Amino acid sequence: MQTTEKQAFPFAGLYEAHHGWLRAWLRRKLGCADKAADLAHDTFVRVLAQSKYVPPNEPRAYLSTIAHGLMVDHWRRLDLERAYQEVLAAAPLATAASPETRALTFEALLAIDAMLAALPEKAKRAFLLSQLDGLTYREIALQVGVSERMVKKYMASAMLHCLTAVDA
Amino acid sequence: MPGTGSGEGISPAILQEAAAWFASLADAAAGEEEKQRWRKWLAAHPDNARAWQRVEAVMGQLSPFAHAGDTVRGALGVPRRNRRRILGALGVLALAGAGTATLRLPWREWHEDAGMASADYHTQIGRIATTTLPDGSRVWLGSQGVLDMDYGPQLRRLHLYRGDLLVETATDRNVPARPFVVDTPHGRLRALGTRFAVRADPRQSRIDVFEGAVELTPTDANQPVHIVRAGEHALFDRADLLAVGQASILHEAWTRGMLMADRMRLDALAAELSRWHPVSIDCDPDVAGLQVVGAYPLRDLDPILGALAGSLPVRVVREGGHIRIVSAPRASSSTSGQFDSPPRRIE
Repeated sequence: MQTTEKQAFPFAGLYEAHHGWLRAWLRRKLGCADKAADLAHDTFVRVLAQSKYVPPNEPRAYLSTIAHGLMVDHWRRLDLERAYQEVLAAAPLATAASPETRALTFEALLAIDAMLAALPEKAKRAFLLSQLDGLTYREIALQVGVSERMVKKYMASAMLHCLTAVDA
Repeated sequence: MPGTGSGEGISPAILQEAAAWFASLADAAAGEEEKQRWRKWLAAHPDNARAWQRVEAVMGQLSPFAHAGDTVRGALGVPRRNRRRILGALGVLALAGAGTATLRLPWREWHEDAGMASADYHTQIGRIATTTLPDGSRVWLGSQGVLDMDYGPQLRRLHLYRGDLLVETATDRNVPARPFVVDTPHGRLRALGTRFAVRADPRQSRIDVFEGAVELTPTDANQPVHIVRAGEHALFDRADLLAVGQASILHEAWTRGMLMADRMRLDALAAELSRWHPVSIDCDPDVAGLQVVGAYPLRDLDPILGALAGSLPVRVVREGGHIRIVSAPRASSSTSGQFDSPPRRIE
């Protein structure tokens, strides 16, 4: 019975054999047992949701690759949260948004960050100056210190990134 | 984030056109004539209109922050950190593979003859070559790679014409120590003590840094434009830096014969496999954006294709030397369990 079950649900075996190891590995990386348990859980959820192929040779390298991606997302979120709070605190008379609105907005900000993550610094600045501040290419060119033609090139490549980016 | 995803089902060429139109129109000083021409393009094909919907979805994602530009730029400007931690994670992976590499790669080729100093290295499709250079640095050359070594009194120089290269530099015993550089058709990479991967493609090159840092100078730039640090990657062409991001284990795992995919697009996976096998492999636009998670042995194509067909709503069509991955919506009755659900977008 045990074997049949494992054949039907190959992840049961993967989970049994490596969940403890993965959680310990994450705890060493994160220094936090709770977060490690969360991310270990998320790792297996991602494996379950997206692939029923169990890599035959390197299950731990496979799991830690996925866990690593989740860890990077986690750190980025922490950094962005802090930066966002700091910027809001520093802004005089910041729009008095409710905590709910702020939380929502932060989610939107995270999504934008992920979308723009792969862009070089100048292309990202040009794109945001155009889309958020409504500047002309001439004005952007002056601020970023490149030619207008370059601004247009940045805009096209930034949009193409957004249209095709799934992960960095 | 529905609607802003990967542009499923729309060909890359049309997405590129849409992005170009966006760049023409986004200038607050754009003229009416330009808009006329854009409307014509929009009406010319339903896919054009679909692509433009994606453009608008991206713009819509930004619009809640309009006039909060300073706040957003301030927050997003925070650098990606934790290089040390990222490095640590990658280090463990490298170690996990190291003990088993020789067992798994019977097809590995060793070049140890001393006469190679002035020779070109070529690897055939699907092959990996590895060697130790005179200064103790180690290099791995991937499928269809072409590499030249040129160690002189001033410089330790590798020239990667094509393909994938992984380098672990050693400290130079010469006094004074010579810089270690890798030239690609698109620029020069100067190692600042390090382990890094380089890929030279026809139109661009890519560098992933796992330890240390690498200074990047595109061929047509007269000074370095970027320092790529541990845990980061950069894409560049002859003129400029094109994109930056996290280092990818994909560009390191091939040295162990593994293809590591974490949320990798199916079209990217197909392109990757094409590098390693003597068949062209691609996929239909409507499945191109499906995400793949998995660790696959690079040399065994059939199990990989079988695994894809087993876990994604796709099937594999072979025509001579060509393999195409096409859409195959599943009949729900034929699936057996809860793990057969089609892949979902994570965000």
